[in-house]
Amino acid sequence: MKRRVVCVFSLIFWFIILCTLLSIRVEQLMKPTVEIREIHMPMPNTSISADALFYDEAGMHLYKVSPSYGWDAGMRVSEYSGYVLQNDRLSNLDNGSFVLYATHDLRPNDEVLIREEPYLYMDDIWVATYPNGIPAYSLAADNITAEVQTDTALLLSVPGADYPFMEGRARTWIETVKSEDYYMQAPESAVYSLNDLYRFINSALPMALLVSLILFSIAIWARCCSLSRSCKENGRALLINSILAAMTLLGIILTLQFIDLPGSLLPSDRITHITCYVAKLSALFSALRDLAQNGSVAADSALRFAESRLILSGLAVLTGAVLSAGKLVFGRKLDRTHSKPKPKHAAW
Amino acid sequence: MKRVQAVLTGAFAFALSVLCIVPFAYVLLRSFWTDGGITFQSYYDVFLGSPQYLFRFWKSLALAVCIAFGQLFISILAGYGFAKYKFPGRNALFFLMMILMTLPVQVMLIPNYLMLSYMDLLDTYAALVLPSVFIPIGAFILTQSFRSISESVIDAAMLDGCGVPRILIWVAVPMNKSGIICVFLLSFLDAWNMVEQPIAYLKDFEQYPLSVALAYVPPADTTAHLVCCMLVILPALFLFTLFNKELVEGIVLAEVK
Repeated sequence: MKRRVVCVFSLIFWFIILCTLLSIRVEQLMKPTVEIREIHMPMPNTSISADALFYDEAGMHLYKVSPSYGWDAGMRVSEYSGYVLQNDRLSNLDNGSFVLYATHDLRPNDEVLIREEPYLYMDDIWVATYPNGIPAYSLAADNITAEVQTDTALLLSVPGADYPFMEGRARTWIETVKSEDYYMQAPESAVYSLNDLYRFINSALPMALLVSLILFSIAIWARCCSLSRSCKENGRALLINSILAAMTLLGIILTLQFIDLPGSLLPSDRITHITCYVAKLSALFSALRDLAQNGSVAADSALRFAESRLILSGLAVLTGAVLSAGKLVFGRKLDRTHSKPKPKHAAW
Repeated sequence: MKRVQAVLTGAFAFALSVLCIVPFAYVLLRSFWTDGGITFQSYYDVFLGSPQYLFRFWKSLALAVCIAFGQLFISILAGYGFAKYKFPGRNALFFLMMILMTLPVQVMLIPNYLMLSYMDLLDTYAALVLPSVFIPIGAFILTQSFRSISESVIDAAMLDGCGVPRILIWVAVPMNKSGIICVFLLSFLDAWNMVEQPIAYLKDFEQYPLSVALAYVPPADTTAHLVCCMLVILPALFLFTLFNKELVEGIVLAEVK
């Protein structure tokens, strides 16, 4: 009975340890970076660009950032509803810090990181997708050049782009020609950064490794439970498996550091929202395929890179699963070599 | 007649069990339930979304383990002293300890607060650990259970050349396993569930253990609160299922003597 209790609870506590480690990284990744505009003592003519509006099913939102305490400690966003939208500007503002752009969609009470100086810049390639056809556009800066274009996608080279990539800001750099009701509805277009796509794909292999390590740790637990039937005889084997478990834990901690998912490709609510990834990535890859067919080298190399990394990641998961199964099947033989042989009875 | 009595007793026991299980079942089911239907969002929030809940869980666990081991150490020394040594004022001291044991935590809050303030220990974890380590219930239980060890065993160990520390480590403690586990369990649970002391001695919310911080979960996160309740149950459930026999034995041993 006691052995079973220890086995069950050791697995539960192992998962709590694992969740603690994962949640530290998830929180870092899911915390959006925002660019803010601070307003002190607003005048009647004080206004900010309507590009600061965020859209979701409930409509458009303007967010403010303010410090919060208790369980919600940190800089959190809250909705500001007293604004007036007029001539592409938002007026009737209050004191405070208003969010202009964010690395991904915001929700009220999200904890955010405020982008502060020194600002980082990085050469980038953007892919803008327009499901209903590319509208009339003009680029806001001379250094941004449209390289390849299809009916529904546009590939732009952007030297010295702001880092991290924020879709809202990118859109303002491209769509400078705006219709009258531009801000009254959620944009159909989306802008993606190839730098972010590379970051995402580069994280695939560490994620696969993480899955493998978690599977392997479960296999170790199963072996330990089996060995604990006779602790005295299997003391050495248990110790070796415990050391293996500690090394797996270290491996998980190290692997987590290499997972660097970009905010622009992450869902706003939870990191495990698979349908959101599928929607974003299928739209992006479809655009990249079209652009590659139209002769874009950058789109073609991104596609090839993604393909090779995904195959490699799949192999890593498969290897992990095979190793874990091997640990369960052949572990008994290996552990037997580390166990003390049962004392033979003297033959009288 | 006997059959009817057995059925009635069974039914009464079943009804009592249901009464005990209902709150637990409610917490479990409600933790998956929001206005929109069944969801795992709260489990995601607590276990994956943010490390703050689990950090607090580990912090509380570390605190409770420190207190339990500290109290066990003091209780073993005090219990052995009361049980095996005769010194002037022993009975008076033991009586005083029993009186202290009957005092509720709330009565001791202000004197402890003043002492901790004098020692400049307020707003530190030492303010929670130190007063809890000296709670007399452990010493009382262990005094009773150490008395059950025969003098001849101690004398034999002394004849073999053991000093007091060795007798304590190699003879008295192993012979009194259930009493020691009982004290560890009771002090752990006391520390794990403490509410008044952190509120009185700590100012910063970040320092609060899970037992207190749970009360501050925003009303919008009711389901997250309930998931935390499930998390809080785990260590106690583990210790009870593992040591339920020793706990009963330890309490019985303390009562019999």
